[in-house]
Amino acid sequence: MFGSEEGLLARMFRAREATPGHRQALENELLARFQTRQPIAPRSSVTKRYRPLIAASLLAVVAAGAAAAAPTHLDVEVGRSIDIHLPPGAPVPENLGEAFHLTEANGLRKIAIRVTAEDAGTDIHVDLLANDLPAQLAPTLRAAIPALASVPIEEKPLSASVRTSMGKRVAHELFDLDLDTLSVEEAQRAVEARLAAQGITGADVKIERTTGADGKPETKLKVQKREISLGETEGAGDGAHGMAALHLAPGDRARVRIPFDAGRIDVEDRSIVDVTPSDTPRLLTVRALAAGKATVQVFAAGEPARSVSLEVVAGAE
Amino acid sequence: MMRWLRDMRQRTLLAKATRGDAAAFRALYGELYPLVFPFFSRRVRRVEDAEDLAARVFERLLARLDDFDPARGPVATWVLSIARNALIDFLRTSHEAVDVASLAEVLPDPGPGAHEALERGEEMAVLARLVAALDAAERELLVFRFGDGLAHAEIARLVGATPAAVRKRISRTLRELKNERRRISATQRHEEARNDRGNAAGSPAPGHEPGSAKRSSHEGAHHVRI
Repeated sequence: MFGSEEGLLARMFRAREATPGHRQALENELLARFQTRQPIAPRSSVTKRYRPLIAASLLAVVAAGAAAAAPTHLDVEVGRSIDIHLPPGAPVPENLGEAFHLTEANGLRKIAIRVTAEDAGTDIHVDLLANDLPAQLAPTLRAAIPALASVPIEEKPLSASVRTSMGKRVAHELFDLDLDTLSVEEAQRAVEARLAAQGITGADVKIERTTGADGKPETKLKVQKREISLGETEGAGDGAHGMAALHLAPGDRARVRIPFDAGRIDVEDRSIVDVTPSDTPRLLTVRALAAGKATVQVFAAGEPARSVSLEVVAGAE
Repeated sequence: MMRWLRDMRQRTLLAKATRGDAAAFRALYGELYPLVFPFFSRRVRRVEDAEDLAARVFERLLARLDDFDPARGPVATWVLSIARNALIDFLRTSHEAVDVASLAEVLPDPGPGAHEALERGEEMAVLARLVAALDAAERELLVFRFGDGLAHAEIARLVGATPAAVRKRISRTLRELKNERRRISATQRHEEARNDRGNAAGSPAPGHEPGSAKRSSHEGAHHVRI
């Protein structure tokens, strides 16, 4: 028997219990002090008591047209996209992702790099999903990779990762609601109204009132909307595979842009989708026969396509 | 995602508390107490000290509500940084930190059988001695990770390193602990086998009485603070 270090350490560092009543006594003491504290700005809300903890589980959302519609007025930073154009023949820099010198400390959740080589040169598109980015990334990139010193680098607010950006957007809006002052029905209407104001309709809003372990009421909010995932290009980051994951319901239709040199299209589950060539050689129409997730993978010269640019360019009918 | 949601919620509560919302402050306290008190209870010997330190942190939080800088990370990490500073101040004038080497003794093993519990207890004792012998900075990372359950990025903010560096150091320490435990275990088995052979021949080897290897695993315990 040889237990894992992780398990043994977790037990070794297990916390002890506080003296019974300590937590409540400290809370009372702090609240008494809080009452004597001068607030920064008087609260204008009509909320008299903030009883429950709002434990929100927000599942992101979105239909096709909203892909690039992440609002700019929100404080929450979604991320950034970087476009680099290399002249013909110029090698693609290695370790490009590391050259940004971003870490989880930047709130970094994902770096997706897409390289598209054509006769006119090589386009590199980078999606950085992060909360806390420097104002400018191009100088860092140029400093790390001298070959990019004179290459145009364009930075734009990220609009590619629809799931995350919309999730943040919805969460940001809803966390400000004082649902505790409302009945379940009123709270549901308030959430739906708030979502509608954000251009999100048809979402399934569930509000549940429960009693927490501490005896206090809790309000749980869940917002869910079936998603047509746009540009969720799984595997695009490593350049090894070109695939698009589509979350579809019956009747949905999406158009998938494929690379010009694609030789074969594989669809993971033909019982879910029907794929037919579209009006131009570089587009496919994906029509959902049943609900589910379908993965479309593209091959060039018999190998999983590299440098693939797959994106859904139209959503549900 | 859950960490992010939690932080969003705590930021909202903090903002409300800053504007004078007592209920929001209470809710924020309710979220942070289960983080702050265990932080100290893992690191100081007496529960009373842990409670005092937790109270000190919340008093500072109350006094500095509007000092929170959203750009510098999550609310919980900010509060833990206050806690860490309070702990450093406390330990600077006190020697009442938890003795790591004693942790294996005070934590009962919930194993199913007596034999397995004994073996697991010995495993824990060996590991505790190895952890006690670690460099304090490495040990702190382990407590953050496996005691407080923090993510690498959260630890990185607290100790002023990059998440990649934190991840690497923790992985390396775990690997070294595992290798050292295997080496100790192999040595013990070898000595026990030799003792068994000696017993079978009716003449135990000098200095290797039955059970001596087991006892030696508890000898020379380091007494190093977390």
